[in-house]
Amino acid sequence: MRTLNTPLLLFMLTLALVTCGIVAVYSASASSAYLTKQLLFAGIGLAAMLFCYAIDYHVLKRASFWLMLVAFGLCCLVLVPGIGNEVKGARRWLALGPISIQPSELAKLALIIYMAKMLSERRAVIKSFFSGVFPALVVTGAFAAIIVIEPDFGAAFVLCLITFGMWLAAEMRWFHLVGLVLAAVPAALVAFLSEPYRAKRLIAFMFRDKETLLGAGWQLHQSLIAIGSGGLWGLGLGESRQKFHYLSEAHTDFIFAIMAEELGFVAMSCIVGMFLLITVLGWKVAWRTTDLFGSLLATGVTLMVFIGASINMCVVLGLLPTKGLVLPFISAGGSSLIVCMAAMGILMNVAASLYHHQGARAVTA
Amino acid sequence: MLRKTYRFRLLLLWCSTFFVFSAILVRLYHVQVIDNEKYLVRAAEQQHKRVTLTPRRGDILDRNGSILATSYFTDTIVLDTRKLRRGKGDEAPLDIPPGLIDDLAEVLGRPRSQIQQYFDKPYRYYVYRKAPEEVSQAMAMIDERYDLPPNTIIFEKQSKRYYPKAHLAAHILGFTKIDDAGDNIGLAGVELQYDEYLKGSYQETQIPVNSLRTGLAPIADEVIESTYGHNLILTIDEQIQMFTQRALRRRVGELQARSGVAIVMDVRTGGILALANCPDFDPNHFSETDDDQRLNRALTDPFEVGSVMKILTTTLLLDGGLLTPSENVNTGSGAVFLHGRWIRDVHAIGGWVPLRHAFAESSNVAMALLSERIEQVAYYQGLRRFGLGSSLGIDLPGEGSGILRPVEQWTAMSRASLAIGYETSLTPLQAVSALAAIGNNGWRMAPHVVQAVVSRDGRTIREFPGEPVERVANPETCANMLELMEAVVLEGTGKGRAEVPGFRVGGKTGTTVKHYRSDSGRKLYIASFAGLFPIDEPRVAIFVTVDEPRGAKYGGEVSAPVFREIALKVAHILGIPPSDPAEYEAYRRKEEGFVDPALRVAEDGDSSPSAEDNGVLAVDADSGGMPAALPVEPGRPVLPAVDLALAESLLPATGDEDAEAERPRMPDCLGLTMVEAWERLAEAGIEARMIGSGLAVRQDPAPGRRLPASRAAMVVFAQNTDVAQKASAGEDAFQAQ
Repeated sequence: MRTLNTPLLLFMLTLALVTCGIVAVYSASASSAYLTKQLLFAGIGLAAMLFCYAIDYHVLKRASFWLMLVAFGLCCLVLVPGIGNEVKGARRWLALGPISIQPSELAKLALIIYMAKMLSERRAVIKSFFSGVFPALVVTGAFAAIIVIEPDFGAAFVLCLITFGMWLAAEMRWFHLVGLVLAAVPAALVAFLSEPYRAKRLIAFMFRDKETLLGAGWQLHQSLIAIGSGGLWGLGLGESRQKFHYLSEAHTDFIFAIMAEELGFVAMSCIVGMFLLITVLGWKVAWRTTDLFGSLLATGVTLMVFIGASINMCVVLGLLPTKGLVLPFISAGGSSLIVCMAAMGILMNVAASLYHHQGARAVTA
Repeated sequence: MLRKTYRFRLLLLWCSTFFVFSAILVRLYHVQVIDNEKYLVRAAEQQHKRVTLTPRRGDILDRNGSILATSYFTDTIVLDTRKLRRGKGDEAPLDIPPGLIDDLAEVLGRPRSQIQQYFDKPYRYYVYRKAPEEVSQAMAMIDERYDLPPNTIIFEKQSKRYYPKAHLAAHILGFTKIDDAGDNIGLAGVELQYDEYLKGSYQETQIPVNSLRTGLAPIADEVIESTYGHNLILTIDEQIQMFTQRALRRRVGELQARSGVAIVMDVRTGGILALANCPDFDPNHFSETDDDQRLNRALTDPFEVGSVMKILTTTLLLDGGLLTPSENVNTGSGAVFLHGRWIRDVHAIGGWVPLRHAFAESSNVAMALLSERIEQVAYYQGLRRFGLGSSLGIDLPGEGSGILRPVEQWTAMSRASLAIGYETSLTPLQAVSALAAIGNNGWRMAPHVVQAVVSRDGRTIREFPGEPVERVANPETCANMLELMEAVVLEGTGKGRAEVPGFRVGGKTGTTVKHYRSDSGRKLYIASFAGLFPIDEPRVAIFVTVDEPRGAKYGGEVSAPVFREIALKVAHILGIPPSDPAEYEAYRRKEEGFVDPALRVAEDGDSSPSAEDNGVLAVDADSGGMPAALPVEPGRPVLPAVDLALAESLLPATGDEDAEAERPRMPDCLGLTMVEAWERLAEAGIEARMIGSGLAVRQDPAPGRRLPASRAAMVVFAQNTDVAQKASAGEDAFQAQ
């Protein structure tokens, strides 16, 4: 089955989504400043993607520890007043001259790489809680904790979900996995109740009445109006009405809604389809790779795209409570875009190895 | 090679992918396609604001397209002090920037205490209705300087009715009162009669807004303009109207009369070229006038026209073959005893004289005797054909029908009384209409003041050409009547008073005793003159009547001079060729290029001309001058406040004296109001561009210079700039802080 070249296909899909994203950001923000920035980020992202594709991905295995340390260090740095940029009561960005980076995005990728290394190395002892599960839990927990402190509950949640998926793939025992989930529930509740706005959002999500529409449910309400007025063919590119102050974060978290309003169901199916295709190709790469590190790496990256995209879409469509998460490749924001594109480079790299190693063929046959 | 368990786990993740994306797609389809309608409705609800469009009332133009009534938009300024609350809730204290109240007081021209009240009780206040441009601008500047919260100062658009020629044709135009859109309810005149056409439509439209209810796009011009009213084109000629009004007012003033009416009608169409009542009023300030001023006597006040009735009686006798033009008629001994009453002539003629002579001298005796020849019913029907006893259906409100008793109620005396103008009352309009019928070969035309209703883009909505109503006499009879009427002017009661140099004119005087003994012990008269001009080929019928003149009483001496003056202007304005060009030329030369006698009186008479001499159109001194802005042409938005420097740069350099000595000289307009300047220019035959508002500050060409053919004259007006200066002073003060 070599009719389609997987790395090339991934490359094309990524570029297509990024291009859609740039157009959508320009339309939703109606600002050429955003356009220029997004183009610049896409350029850096492209370079990062090609770089990650060109290297031997096994290098990552060796670098993974240091990468993780740097990422963790940045996550700590963000909490230092004066260095971390405080926006709406949260320190999520590191001010680096004119641009600001979001270390939690970088942490995601660094943790995926490190987790792939750790899980592949501890393959033999993975069933053991103390030798297999515990170290992975400590590393993940450390990252999640530092990100929750920012606070960025959503990012921490996504991070945990990705690593959990990797643990699942890495053959951890169901007993441990279910136990972890059960153990996470009280922790999640505490984190949840510590911030009143989270509870409010959940209530707004569960009881969609008029009152909540004007308060916590406002964004979801506006999001649905945007998506719903798109119809089959949309209002036309640039014709969104909801972007005029009705829908806040129109160019970031809720860009999917604006796109849906302008482009309609048919085009949005294609966008969803592209995410689906990337994910499916990711699973294919993970399935076929004989190298466990490579396979787990592919699994992690695929999960990152899959979880990022699906949670964002579910939030925008009202399937999940409102959470401030960006849509990979599309939302405005440099950190997410560059990290996602770099991750795709890694996935392409692993995919390419399928064709280079004899073993890969054997698996295919 | 990876283990089977690993692949199973991957398969689980693979499945979850499909599950999640399927859920997303199903949900997306549900929201976007199935619930599309529902969300479209919700979107439309919140994304649009209903806006009631303010229609602009149609303009009223004279037959040459000159604007007599127009509307322009003004701002009504709303101050919502509630917007200044520091927090939410009704009790939150106001956040008043220092100096704001003082600045508002200055710009609005109110005491500080009054402005303070707006802030003491926060609410939405209308602080200035129909604000002049400069006040609007100053308020906008305050809004900007103090960076007030949105919607603290709101400008609501309202249209204001404006009659640029003030008193001119006021009784025809009528006036309006205010509704939500501004001055848009016709209360009198054509404003009332044609209200449906003028007022436009009150439409609502939706404009897209953002979540702050701020409009995202301006309303399309086509949408706005589709609500605008139609324009009216009158049969009135602005120039003829002006001279008619002026001549009448001066005569009424000279004779200290109670009132007067003058009507000029186009005999061929029945269109009214001019209709003047004295006293009159300025529709711009109609609320300050009284009923007496606003009464359109020409339509509403029937009166006994006296000898003017002899025209109708003689016409009916001639037309019925009961009298021949060459006949000699009996004038008795200057008095005759008929049906138990004496009928006397003013100046006894005596004996049998030619009809021409008896008519010219207005012999009551002869006419009373002649009236015995016509059957009562025939007489009644004939008078009905002339339009007596019923309203003529002119397109103005409040027309009266006059009095003509049904024939069953007539006495033996009735015919004789009617023949000399008693026992019946005519409105001035009925009189001029009957007269015009004779001038139009016996066809009586429907009187009207509106020629056409035209949409803003020039489409004709309705047209009112001349409409014949009834044939009152044969053309031959009419020709005979014209000769008889010319005799009145050449040798009879109108001699020496009604002649127009260079033209042949005809008419009939009428004098009625209104009261033999009034409260003041004085005998009261109504003096009229009905004339056709020119008599050889009548174009206009002119009827002039003056109520209760003092010092003079006969139609010939009171009203004929007014007729003469109007006829001269009509000849000039309509370009009627004189029958004796040489005489006309000589007259014109003698009169120094057709200068209006009224102006000459003012110039060589006393040094301080009275209001009467100044003409009928002088603006009331206490009216505050002119409105803030003046539209230059129909449909154009109002001009912004005049930038003097700019206006000056627009003026071409003066001093290039034109070689053409024929060109009219530019009068001195400096210091005049717009109406005064317009009037003076009209006299000189100059149509000038008028810019700005207030008093004339500049003009081109300079006074006394001849107007070059190459360019149009221009007069620049400027308002008292106090307000603007205050506003800018306030601005400086704020910056200093």
